[in-house]
Amino acid sequence: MAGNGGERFDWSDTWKRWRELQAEAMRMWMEAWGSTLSGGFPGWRAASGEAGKKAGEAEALFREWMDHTRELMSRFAVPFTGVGPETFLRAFRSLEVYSGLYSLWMQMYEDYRRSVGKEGEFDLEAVHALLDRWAERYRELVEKVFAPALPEPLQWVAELYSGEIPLLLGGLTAHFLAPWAEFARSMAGRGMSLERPSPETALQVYEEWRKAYEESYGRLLRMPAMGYYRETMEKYTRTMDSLNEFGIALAEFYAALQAAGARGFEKLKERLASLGEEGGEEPMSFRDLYRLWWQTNEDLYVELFRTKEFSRLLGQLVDKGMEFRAAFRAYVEEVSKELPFPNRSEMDNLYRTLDRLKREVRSLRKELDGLRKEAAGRGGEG
Amino acid sequence: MFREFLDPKFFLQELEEVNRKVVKGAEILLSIPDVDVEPTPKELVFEEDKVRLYHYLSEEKPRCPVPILICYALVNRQYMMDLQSDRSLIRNLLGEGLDIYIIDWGYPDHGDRYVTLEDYIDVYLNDCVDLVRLRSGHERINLLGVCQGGTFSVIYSALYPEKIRNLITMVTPVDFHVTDGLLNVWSQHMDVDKMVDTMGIIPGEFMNVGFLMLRPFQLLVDKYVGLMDNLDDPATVANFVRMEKWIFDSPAQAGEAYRKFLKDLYQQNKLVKGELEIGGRRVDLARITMPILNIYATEDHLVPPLSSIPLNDLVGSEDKTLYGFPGGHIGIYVSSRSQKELAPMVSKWVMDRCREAGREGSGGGRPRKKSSAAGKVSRAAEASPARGGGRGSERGARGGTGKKAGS
Repeated sequence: MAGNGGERFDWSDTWKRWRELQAEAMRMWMEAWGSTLSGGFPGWRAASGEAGKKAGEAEALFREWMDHTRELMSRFAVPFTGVGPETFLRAFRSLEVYSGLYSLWMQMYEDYRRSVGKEGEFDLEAVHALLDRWAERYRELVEKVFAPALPEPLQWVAELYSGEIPLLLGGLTAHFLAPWAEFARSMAGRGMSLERPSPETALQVYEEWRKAYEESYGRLLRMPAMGYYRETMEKYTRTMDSLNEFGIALAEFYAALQAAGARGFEKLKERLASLGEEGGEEPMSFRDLYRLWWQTNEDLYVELFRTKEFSRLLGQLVDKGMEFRAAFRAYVEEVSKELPFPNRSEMDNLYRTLDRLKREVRSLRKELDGLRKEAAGRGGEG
Repeated sequence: MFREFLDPKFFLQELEEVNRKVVKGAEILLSIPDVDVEPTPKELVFEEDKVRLYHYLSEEKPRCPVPILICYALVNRQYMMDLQSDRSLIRNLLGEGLDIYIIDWGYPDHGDRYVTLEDYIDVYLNDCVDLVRLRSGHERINLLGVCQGGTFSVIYSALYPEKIRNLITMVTPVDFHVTDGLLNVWSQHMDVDKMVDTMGIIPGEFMNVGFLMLRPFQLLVDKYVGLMDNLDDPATVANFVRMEKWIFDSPAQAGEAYRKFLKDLYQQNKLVKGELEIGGRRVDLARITMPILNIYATEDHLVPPLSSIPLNDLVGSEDKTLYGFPGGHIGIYVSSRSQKELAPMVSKWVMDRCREAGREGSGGGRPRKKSSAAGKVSRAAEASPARGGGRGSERGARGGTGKKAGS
């Protein structure tokens, strides 16, 4: 082993320093990630400040360790073929990639925490600015770290993904998440009481859920499918979409029923109170109370059923149910078309053919009867 | 306020009574293997596709030779009219000396999704009418339509007035835009095309949900609570189970027929507007000139009285009777009051016109040469010459614009 220059190299100190750095780096690394991951949400957010600080320290220490080690290894002169300072440099380049990624991730997380973590709000513009910053960092990372690590003929691949693509992808994701973040924020702000849920509130919740769905999953499920499983996927996504639509209609329908039920309860209380006020009434039996309960409710439900709004809800429920049923059948037929039995559509075609044939036979029979009668009449005349 | 709280003894007594009934009721339910319906004997005289025509057998010779053909609804089963021996409009009518035929529409399956309203009226009902005409030897017969079957009978009588001597409608919807009936209101918002295109045939269960929703607490809760009170009475329990069987024995609806019935009648009310077409022919209610007995139920929640009553103002008949039976849509057949009043009233109305028909001649007539009957009926008609009579025996006009009996 020989030194790099004339200055004498203190091998024992260097080795000791290297070992200490390694131990410290590992300890801090584990500590940082341990505290980050063990918290779980929402403690994660609260703990992340300290954890991020520690992780940053760990990263700095790691870089120091890496620089030191690279310097150390560059002094080695390994006496067999193909292994030398360049070998270590290449190895350390890959470590640098890892470190770069880690650095990017931590920075992204910190940015996200700052942009989104304020009181549960989700600001789409702030997220877009965040994405711009991320994309820029990612581009730098790819240009400076990933691309040089790849063989030269493949470096274009890394560059391809260093520009607009991650930004677009991030933007799409943000758009996808934004309605749900808005929905969550709205729900948090609503402060719904579980003790006595109001049907009107429930309706608003369903409406907001529908809005979030329409702007996110709904769009995703309605997106045209492509590729070998295009037809199957398209039918599947249509089924899921229509099921969700049916669920929304069902919820709206039940909310109306629930509202009538709540009114029924109030009405029952009023009637009971009025009975008490009138005085002189015979004490009620449970049977009397039961009768009063169901008749009060029946009246109110029938009153609801007579409204145009209920008819609209019922019509909508049936409509969405039919759409789901049609979509589900189409999907089932698609995935079962190789099975050795006919599906509903094929049977319907047969039924249609049979129906036409029956009509034709009936018509021909009628015509034949007429001809027979005519012939019999001519025979009689003759 | 509550007696039970004021007097715990009362509470314990009621609890004991309920428990006793439940235990006894469980024993009774376990001892009833199944219930029989349609006790009155009958013979199958005609069948076409899923439709069957039965002739009720009677040991006595009918006092009115002109038979009555009963056209029931496609919804639920015709044995409501012959649910059990002591609750049977059929048996009562037979006892009054009438000759009865009844159509059983069967249980449509997916193979029947393309069966149209025209098929039901121009083919099946027409073939049944022709067969009854042929068997009885009368050119014109009595037609009794029930509920939706009443609407069919009204349409049929307007299209084929030469084949019907007397028309009787029971709880029959004619004006579908009266808002008393929830079915009328709800149907306005249904996408019928989507329903039929999707389901092909409309399942009976689907229909039942709608019917149960008309009176949710009464039909889904109180009815069964009420049963608790009578669980210790085997006869009452058996009656209850029979009715339960009828309610949930619900055939599916042939898709195309359902489509036209819902769209043209429930949604567009074409029958009373004079715009309904069957097989390209307009249904003109003014062409109904035969005597008509229009029976409605005053407490009907399925077919509100206001949906049935206008028929008498729309037909061209001069002899028309309106009868309001105090009861509901089902009670009109099974209530004890019905057993005592309805059959005698119907039979008297028919007999009065039967006697007049008798005075006019044989009451029979030769079935028209140009019959649209197909299959067995048509060929049989050719082979069996009918007796004379015909339009000349048309009964004269009766005064008045209609009279209301009963309630």
